[in-house]
Amino acid sequence: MSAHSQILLTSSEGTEFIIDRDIADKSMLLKCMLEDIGEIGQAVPLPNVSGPILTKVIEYCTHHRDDPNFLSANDDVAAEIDEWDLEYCKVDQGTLYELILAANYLDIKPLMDLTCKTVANMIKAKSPEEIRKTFNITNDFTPEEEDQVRRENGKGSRRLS
Amino acid sequence: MTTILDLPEEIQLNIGEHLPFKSIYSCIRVCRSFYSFFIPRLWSDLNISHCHGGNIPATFLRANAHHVKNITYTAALTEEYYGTTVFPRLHTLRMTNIYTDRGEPTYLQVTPLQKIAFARLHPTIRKLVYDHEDTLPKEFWEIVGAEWTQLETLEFEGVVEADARDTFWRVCGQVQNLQLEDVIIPESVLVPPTLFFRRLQNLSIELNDSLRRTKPRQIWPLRLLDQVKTAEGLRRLKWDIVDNPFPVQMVQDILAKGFWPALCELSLGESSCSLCPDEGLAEFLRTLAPQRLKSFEQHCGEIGPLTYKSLQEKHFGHLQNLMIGTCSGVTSAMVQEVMMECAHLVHFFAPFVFLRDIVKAPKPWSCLKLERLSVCIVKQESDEPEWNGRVMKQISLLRRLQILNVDWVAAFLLIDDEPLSTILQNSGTLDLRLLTTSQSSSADTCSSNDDEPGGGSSDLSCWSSLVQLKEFLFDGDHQTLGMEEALWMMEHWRDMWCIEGKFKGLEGDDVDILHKMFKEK
Repeated sequence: MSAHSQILLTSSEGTEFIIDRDIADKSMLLKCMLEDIGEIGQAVPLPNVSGPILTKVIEYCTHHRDDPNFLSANDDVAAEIDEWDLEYCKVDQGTLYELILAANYLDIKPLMDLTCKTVANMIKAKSPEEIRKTFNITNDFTPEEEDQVRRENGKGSRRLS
Repeated sequence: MTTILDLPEEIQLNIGEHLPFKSIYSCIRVCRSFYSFFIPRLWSDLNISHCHGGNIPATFLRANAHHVKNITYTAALTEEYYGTTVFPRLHTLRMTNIYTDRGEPTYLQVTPLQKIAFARLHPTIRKLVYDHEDTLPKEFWEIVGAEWTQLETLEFEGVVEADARDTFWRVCGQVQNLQLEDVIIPESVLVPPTLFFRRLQNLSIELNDSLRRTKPRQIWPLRLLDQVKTAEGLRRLKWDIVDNPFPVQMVQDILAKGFWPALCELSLGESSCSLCPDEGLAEFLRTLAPQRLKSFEQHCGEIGPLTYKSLQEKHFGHLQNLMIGTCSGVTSAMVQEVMMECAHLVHFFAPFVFLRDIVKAPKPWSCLKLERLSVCIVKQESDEPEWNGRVMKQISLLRRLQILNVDWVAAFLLIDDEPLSTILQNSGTLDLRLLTTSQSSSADTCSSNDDEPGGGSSDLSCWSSLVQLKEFLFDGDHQTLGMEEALWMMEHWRDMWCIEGKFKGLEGDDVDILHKMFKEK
């Protein structure tokens, strides 16, 4: 089948998106689906992904369209985030989590790694209180529990490497 | 709105993988959900030693035993650590002699019976690393062979008793990675001919010099090598055996018969000349199929000119790993050629290269995929001042670097090599300082590409592009890096966890500040 054929997707609210086949193939879910059932005339429904998020996902796949290392490069957990990707992830937290969930559902591993890494960077080098502030989390430990967590896991539990 | 707490577990795990230990420790104290998300990561790797005060109380260990995946035990421990705790998800067991103090009153050698009991309780183990100084009884190997059905890796150092030999070899025959270091096996013991090593991918045999004086010459390595020729998946072969040159003819014959179709990594050591002659190795490398050799390592000894030529002509186009940093015979011109021609290189360990050779080269480096680079860059008196900046810039383009070692020590490995060592001793090294007046510095006149990170600078500040850098090693004696540079490194290398070198002129307060900053990272 031709790489230039087009696929129709519908987001959760029913908006239709027409994308090129090679873009759709970046998603392992869509790729497997399309390989299994071949070209289908009708739209592929994506009830878990909203229109704005799907737009964002397509933007990512389109940018990395000709990236030869799209799948191989990200075996490397530590690979750098390039400037475009960095800019791409400058969204509000809600959107970021929606993106993670969409990447997970559509099975786009590079996008999954990128977004998870972005969240990890928001956690890095912060104290528990700073983490709570960043993610708007309430501390639901009792003082006794907090003390226990500190004691059991703190001093002495040294990690290798 | 979706919050971080709504993310499913597998995604939390993915996020955790990108975090250092320090952050995980902060995370578990955030709230109950975070605690349950991140606690498995915190306990996954344990190092239990017989060291008073530092050890985890056994009660806490038991409470978290189900999170533990990797564990390191020393040879001496009290019962409460060995006998009573079961780790249901244990993957890696290292029984290594990291620290034992026989003088301590509570010193208690773990007995073979305790080890057998431990083995029986932990059939999930996939990797065993063993170098305690005792001899494991046959029963231990029987349990490993029969019950550790997921065992993939065996790294063993020690003695195998005659009655345990068959069970021992059978375990070896089951694994993918087999690393035997200083293994003593009675001469009469052969590898059972019924073993085919079908799963074997990585074979490493090392026998060191120290054995030669105390133990009879070991004859099993050559027989083992012949026996493993049926290992279809063998990728990596390491040979470092005292008085036993790499059997180039034998390996060549095995390959010629179509065995080892996947072999692509070769590591040779110099346990008092276990290297074969230059012509032999060069010819062997030449006969390897094109595209084949991904990794070549040699530890000590000399890289012969013919061997180098074979590598260059046949394998530079696809080599990913080249480790020749401790070898004599490696010239500056060779190192420069490697950097210029090996576009796929990921790890490169070289002794030294002259600044002059990098600057005078006809082409810039093509090794932009480098993640680890270890090379001493030697600056001679007659070098022009602006060359320093040009080399700094060349290095700044290696944006995937994670480990960079420009320590001077590497060059001193060649101290016997006259007149080279005299030249090296009278030389300096690449100057890493920040130029405080960099705007007006004459070193900036070299051609600069506007896309480059760091703008037009050509001192340490142009290395801000090395965002992946985790480890940086420099030499304190030849560098004059001070507080300013130390602070710059802290600020710009976010993922850094190891800086090794000596900063000059730091007063007491400065040292404290650095310590504190580094601890926070």
